[in-house]
Amino acid sequence: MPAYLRELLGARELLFTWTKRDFRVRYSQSVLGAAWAILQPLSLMVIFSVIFSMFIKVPTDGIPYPIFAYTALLPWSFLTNSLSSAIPSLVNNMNLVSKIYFPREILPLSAILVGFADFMVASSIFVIMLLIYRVPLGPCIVLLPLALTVQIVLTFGISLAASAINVFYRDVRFVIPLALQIWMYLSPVIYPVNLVPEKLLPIYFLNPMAVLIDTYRRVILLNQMPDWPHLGLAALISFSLTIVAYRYFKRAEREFADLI
Amino acid sequence: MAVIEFEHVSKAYRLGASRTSLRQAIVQVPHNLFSRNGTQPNQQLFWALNDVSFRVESGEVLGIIGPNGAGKSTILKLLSQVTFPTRGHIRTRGRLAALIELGAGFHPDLSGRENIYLNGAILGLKRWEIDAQFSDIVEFAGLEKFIDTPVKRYSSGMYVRLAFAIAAHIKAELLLIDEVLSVGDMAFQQKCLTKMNQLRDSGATIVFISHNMWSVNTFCKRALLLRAGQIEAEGDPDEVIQIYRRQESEGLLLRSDGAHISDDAGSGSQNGAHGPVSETVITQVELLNKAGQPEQAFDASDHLLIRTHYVAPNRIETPLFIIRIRRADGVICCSLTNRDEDNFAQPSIHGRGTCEARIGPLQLVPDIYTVEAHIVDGEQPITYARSSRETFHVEGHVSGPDHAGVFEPHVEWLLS
Repeated sequence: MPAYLRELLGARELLFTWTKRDFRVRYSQSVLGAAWAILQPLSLMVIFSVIFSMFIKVPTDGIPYPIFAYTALLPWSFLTNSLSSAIPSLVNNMNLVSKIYFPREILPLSAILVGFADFMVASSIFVIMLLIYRVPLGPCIVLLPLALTVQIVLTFGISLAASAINVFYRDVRFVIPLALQIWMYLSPVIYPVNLVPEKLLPIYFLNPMAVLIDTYRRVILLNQMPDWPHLGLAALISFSLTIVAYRYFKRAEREFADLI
Repeated sequence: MAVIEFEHVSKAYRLGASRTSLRQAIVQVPHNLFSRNGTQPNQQLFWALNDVSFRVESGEVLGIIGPNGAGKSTILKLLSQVTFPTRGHIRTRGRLAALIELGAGFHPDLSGRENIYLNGAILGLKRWEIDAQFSDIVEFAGLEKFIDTPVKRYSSGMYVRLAFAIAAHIKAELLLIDEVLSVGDMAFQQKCLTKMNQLRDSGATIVFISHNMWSVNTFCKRALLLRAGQIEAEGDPDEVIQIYRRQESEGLLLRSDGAHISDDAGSGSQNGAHGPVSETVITQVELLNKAGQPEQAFDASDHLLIRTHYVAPNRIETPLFIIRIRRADGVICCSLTNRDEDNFAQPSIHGRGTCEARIGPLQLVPDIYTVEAHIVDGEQPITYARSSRETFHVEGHVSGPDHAGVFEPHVEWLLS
């Protein structure tokens, strides 16, 4: 295990402290508090349902649009919220980074953990929705944590690379919202996968989130096995991205304090 | 066993605007491809440290002194791994606590209490370890009332008290202390030195940066003089401090002899006429010893003769000469005028002349002093000429807390 992983393990106390603090700050500073974690995917779902099942009728193979959308919106919000707070995390805490030593990856990692906590809170509504729509859950649902793990690794990899680059090029954070928007349209969040033309599917599934969203729908709503080859590819992409990004991060880290 | 090994360390910083925007970087790419010399114009390097090597053994207390900008804080930042050397190797052993510049890694939005836990966690303590020390830390810092207020509201003194309190209580094996301590008041500085003594006695290794020569002398067993990124002297604190002082006073003299300094107090301080001919000018201020020879180094028991040469193109009816002796840190030690009790019988002056002031014995503490000579009007608040370039230094060993005392009279002790 490379030295820096051991160091991260040794600094887990700091990680928990920081995450707890981050969490508290988030929830105490907003009036809505915990409700925001639920409100965000929920309100998006409502709007999308209105537009994409009433104005534009997106065919969803008989699955009611709200639950169809929510199954994707939930992990998607997890991704966007995590990235939005993880990527600027180094720059936002520059006063700490430049004065004292600690494994810097704790900052984006902590943002992801907070995002995960939000995700769990929002999932509570999801459980209610599953009951309301009487979705027949099957054994395939046990594969859900697998897909989630791949997503978390992917998020971590992107955060490491992007947060480090953000230190050197501060305008990266302005690109993020746009990039996430575009990414959402390139993933089957609002529409089902079968609307994508056949010949584009190989390229389409190079997008790990496309595979993951599809997987979520399969295991939760359809009780189907995931598309293993594509899921394997998504996992491969996510893990290798993270390994490369982590190495880059550790090298770039040496220069952070010199650049405030 | 060495706790710190600094081997041929150099640290360079890039000068000029750094590439902080993608937009700029993208624009630069074709520029770099097509330009002749490849590197961007603002790629000059500033070498904050240049081939610095030293070792610190376990239990040692090392003091680092030197002028501002010498690279002292850079050494601390390198030791605490906040930044990395451009060349060379650094090795440290043991848990490290550092007080570098103001802040020591506090998060401004968190309260003092939360920062104690955060800092403790950063420094590697477990929660229960911090719990055990918590009340000691708060008590040492004297911040019981403010411990739950966000630190962004703390004054700089409170900041440094909290930072030091945390650093001192976490049982670090290596303590790095930057000159921030000077932000605290005298009582606090005393407290800190006492605490650092305790830590030293219990085996901690301390690297201490200070401008307070007395504390470096009493507290440190070894000192390093750093100037412009290089070690100029190393060894016994007393000797190193003397070397530093000598260098500083020579530096001051060099600066005052040469080109006209822009921060000079007065208009009349140029040698030779540079201003309208009708202005009174102090052409020279000579510092002489008892024998009338030019001198720059004095003893507390020496006599100092200050001879002010002036040219007054217009007659000044009621002139007054003022001699001020100002210490290196700005304290005015004395302000002497030739006004005597029954309101000067100073004759008017016209043309060239000199005015001598014989001061003796000096009875000043060892330090560097500047002589200010003023010619003013005795009746109206008009200043005719000023000069404040000449400096001298009083030699001797620093004998008391830094700058406590300006004046060292002759004293005889009698015991019975």
